[in-house]
Amino acid sequence: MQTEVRVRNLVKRYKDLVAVDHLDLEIQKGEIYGLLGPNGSGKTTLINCILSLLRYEKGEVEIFGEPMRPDAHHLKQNIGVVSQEPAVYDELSVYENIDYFCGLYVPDKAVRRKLVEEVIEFVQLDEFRKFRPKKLSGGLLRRLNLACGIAHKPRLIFLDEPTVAVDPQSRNRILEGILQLRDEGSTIVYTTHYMEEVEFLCDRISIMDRGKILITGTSDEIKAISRSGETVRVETFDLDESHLKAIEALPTVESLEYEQAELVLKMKAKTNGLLDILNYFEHHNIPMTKISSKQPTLNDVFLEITGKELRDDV
Amino acid sequence: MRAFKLYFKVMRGSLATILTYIGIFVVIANFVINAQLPSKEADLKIAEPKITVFDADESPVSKAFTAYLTEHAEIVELEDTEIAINDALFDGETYYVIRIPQDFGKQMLDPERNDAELNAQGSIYVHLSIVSAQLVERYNQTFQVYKQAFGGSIPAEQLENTLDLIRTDLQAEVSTRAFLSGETYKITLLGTSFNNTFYILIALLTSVIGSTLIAMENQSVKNRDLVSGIPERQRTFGIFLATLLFSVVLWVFLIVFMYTQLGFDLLTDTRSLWLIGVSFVHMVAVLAVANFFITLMRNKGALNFFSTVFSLAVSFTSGVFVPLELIQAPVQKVASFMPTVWAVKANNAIVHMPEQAPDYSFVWQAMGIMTLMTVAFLCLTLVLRKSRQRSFA
Amino acid sequence: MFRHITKYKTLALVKDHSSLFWTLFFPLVLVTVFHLAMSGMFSSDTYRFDPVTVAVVTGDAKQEEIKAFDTFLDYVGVPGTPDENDGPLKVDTDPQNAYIIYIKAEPEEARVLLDKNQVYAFVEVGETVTMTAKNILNSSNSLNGSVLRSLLERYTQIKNTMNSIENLVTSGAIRPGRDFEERIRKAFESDTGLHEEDQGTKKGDVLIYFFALLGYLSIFPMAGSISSVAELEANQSSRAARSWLAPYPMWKRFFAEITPNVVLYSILIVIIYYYLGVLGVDLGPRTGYILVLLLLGTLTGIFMGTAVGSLFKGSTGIKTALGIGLPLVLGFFSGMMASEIRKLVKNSIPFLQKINPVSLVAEGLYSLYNYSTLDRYFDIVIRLSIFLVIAIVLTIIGLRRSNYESI
Ligand SMILES: Nc1ncnc2c1ncn2[C@@H]1O[C@H](COP(=O)(O)OP(=O)(O)OP(=O)(O)O)[C@@H](O)[C@H]1O
Ligand SMILES: [Mg+2]
Repeated sequence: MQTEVRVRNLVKRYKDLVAVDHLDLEIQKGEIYGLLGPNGSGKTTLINCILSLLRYEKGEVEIFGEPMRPDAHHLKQNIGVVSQEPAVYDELSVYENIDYFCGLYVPDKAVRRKLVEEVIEFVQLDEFRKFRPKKLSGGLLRRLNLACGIAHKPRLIFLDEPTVAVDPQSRNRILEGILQLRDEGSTIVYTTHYMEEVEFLCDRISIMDRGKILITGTSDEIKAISRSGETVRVETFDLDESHLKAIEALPTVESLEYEQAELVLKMKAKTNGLLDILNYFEHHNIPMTKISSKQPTLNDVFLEITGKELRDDV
Repeated sequence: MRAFKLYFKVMRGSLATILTYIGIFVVIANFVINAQLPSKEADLKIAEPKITVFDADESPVSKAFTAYLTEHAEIVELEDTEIAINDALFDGETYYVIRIPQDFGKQMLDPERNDAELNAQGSIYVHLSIVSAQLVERYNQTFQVYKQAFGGSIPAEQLENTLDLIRTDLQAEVSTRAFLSGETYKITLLGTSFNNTFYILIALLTSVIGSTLIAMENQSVKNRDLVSGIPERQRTFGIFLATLLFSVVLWVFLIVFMYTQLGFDLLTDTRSLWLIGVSFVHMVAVLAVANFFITLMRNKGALNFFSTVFSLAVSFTSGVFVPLELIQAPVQKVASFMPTVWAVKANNAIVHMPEQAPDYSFVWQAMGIMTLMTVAFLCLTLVLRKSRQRSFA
Repeated sequence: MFRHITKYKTLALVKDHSSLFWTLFFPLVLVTVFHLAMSGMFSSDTYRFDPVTVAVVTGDAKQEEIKAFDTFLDYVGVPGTPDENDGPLKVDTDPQNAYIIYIKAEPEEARVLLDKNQVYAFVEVGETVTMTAKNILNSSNSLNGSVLRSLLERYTQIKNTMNSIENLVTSGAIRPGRDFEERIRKAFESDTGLHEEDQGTKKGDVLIYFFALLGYLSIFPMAGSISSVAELEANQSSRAARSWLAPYPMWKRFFAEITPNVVLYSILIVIIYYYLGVLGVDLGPRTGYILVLLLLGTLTGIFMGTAVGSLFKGSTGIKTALGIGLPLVLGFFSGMMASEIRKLVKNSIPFLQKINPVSLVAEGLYSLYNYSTLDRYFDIVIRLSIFLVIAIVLTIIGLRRSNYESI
């Protein structure tokens, strides 16, 4: 398999702050690569370094197998970027904005017209094509921003949180569109805070914090690597100390909490703890009103390795 | 208080503008004031003629004449080309260019004549041309007097002696004295500097207050404030106080800077205090005017243009840069709807105030008019804001 | 690609109605106001000579001295009367060729008259003549002083000559003939054969305000091109970052970006020139040369802006302030606000005058107005072109930075 982006030992400092810290990375052709990280973890900085927009202290970046430099125009030709902040001209209409940015890559007018129409369809801005950006809502503006970055059908696309503030329908539409882009052969680097998006979309995921990639893999792999297993919740009354001690001593149980008639058990990873618990309750004849089990999510994994919530509002 | 503090936080964005403008002011004021400060304070400033002579004759008479000119004026050597001469006249390097033709000496001595042909070219300074022409005229007259005294022609053996006599006769000294305090000159310089601060204040207050106000009036910022429970009136008042405070600080800075250049001892002069008073009243009035126009315009993109053109326009029509006498009456009429022209007039009155029986009634009047303008523009601004609010509702 | 970017930049420029309006409108307003303020200078001859008002104090001078001085006064001036409203001395008749308007006064009166600015100076007659005036900063003040002093000198000079001739007579070197006194009196009144040329210089001195204004207005696009550079530098706007990622070298984008500015401001300066003509300001017949100079100035202004915009890494605030402030300062040094400043600068910092683009344009216009030859004009065009080339080189150096420390 071909490697589209290769980053080796990349270091980027802002004065004293190390924004990207000896980072290595490989992105394969045709995959959707998710970059997850809390605010300020260095995702945007990493992307800008890969694009050579930012100078970096150390390291190498290769794109399409060639070293990436600020004047590597033949590489830039095949890259599309959607920045975190909307970057469009207030004076130009939706159509004109897309046509302008597309025209930086595609000189041929007829080809361009077709591409612009396609992307307008793609982000569903058809009825707004004559609008100035000022008159677009926050979500529509983001969609325009997206369209400006991908209209020229690049081989490699960087999407920096493209779906913030976009409503669920449009977001699904965009996500499907991204899958479609991948199926048409593009490679996509995707940063987001939305766990569902990553799980749904990404072939591989890296979790970033403080400028370092902590872990990389498919979402299942990452969950598997995690030390935490499933969480089992049991609603039960009369549990005494001795029972709690005994349950805690079970080999599959990592930790437990008992409060207000609810027992919350964290099980060890890669075990089938639910069965153990059921057995124990049956054996000791303890009545229970409800039992549930939840597999770990990426969010849990994330929390576990970074010690931070992925999104402040989760 | 919230709005008050917020105002200064927003203003930090304009810090660069403020500092740049102040830097420019400091450099220019420093240059202009120092270029005009007299070396000796008590000296009466009198413009000295600067003359250029091209002597094609080189006869004893023409040489004596040139020597005489050297004693009475500063002689400026120039290259004899059209461009060099015109440039020098234009740049004030010389004020008068005299050409002595070849037979000047012969013509002077000619018993049939009482003059000799000379060519001259004067600069725009008519006064200095007059003085220079007088220098020439006197030499000729004195020369002719001696010629007549000798009965129509100067004997050859007497020529040298006569030329000497003419020179000594013409070495007349008039003693000049400056009237009363030597500070008057500095006070006029101070008055001019105060006039110039009017320009800086108008430019700075419109641009800085403008950008800050427009940012504060930005609907989303304003909404956030209003939602958080600050009454609109209190907010407006906070902004008003902050604007005033900023302007006063800026004003104090400009004034203090001027006095560092001219000497703080000037503060003991009453006229100095009057100048400060007028300047303060004017500053407050400019604030009100700026506020009004900014409220009227509400366009951030146009603000820079506006403040540049507005400050220049007001300054030019109000006599900040060119003397008021030169500005045509209709233009002055229009300008008198702005406070600046009144401040300039008051400053002129203060600077030329008799020391024996000073009469400051005009200055009071001007300050009164500026205060009325302040009130009027504030009212206009309020009306404007009210009418806009209504149109939103 | 070039056409593509230029097309959209022009579109963006034109579609931004309010900015476009102000860009075009404000310079015209400035020109109008300027003309209104200055037109007074054209009509009334600013530097016209008005007789100097003087109070004459004879005090306890000798009777013959007083008589001699009276004759002299009669010769150079006309008597005036005090103005009831404390204005300067009045005369009933037209003072025509008089140099001074005088009033006889007691020492105390004279002081009061001077204090109230009713006379320019007072003169005390005696063994020596003393003039006393207010020491104020005002060019007409020192010019009046110059004329008055020169007149008073004349009085003493005549006295000297009379004495010398008397001595010559006593010593026998001169034997007074028939009508000796009459001939001497006549000789004292003889005219000179002095021919004063009237020079265009004089009008040029009023026009220098307009020359400087035109110089300022051609450099003034600086502010606009500073913001254009912000559209190029990825660290100055997010749009610029997006364009930076496009597969084109910086210089191509630069020229595409700057072209609409060049066109807009070139049109503007031509409009301003013709508008001045409509207002009645005659800058001379060499329209072609004038326009070339103005357009060259405009280009210089635009590239000064791009140089500042790309070289200075500081905040946009400082750059904007520079873009607005610098042309004003250069205009100030070229005499736009006060023509005297131009001379001050020329005498104390001549170097500045030689490189200040506003004053280069102003001096170029002056030379076209005033000189028959074009030597000076071409000299200035060359200097301005060098300045332009430097600005372009600095811009290229500034833009050459290929990526950013932070954005
Ligand atoms: N121009 C800059 N100068 C100094 N520090 C910066 C600059 N840009 C970013 N940083 C710092 O670098 C770190 C990484 O920032 P970056 O924008 O890459 O984070 P991010 O992962 O994209 O965050 P978010 O999810 O909020 O977009 C942060 O601590 C940030 O404060
Ligand atoms: Mg980011």
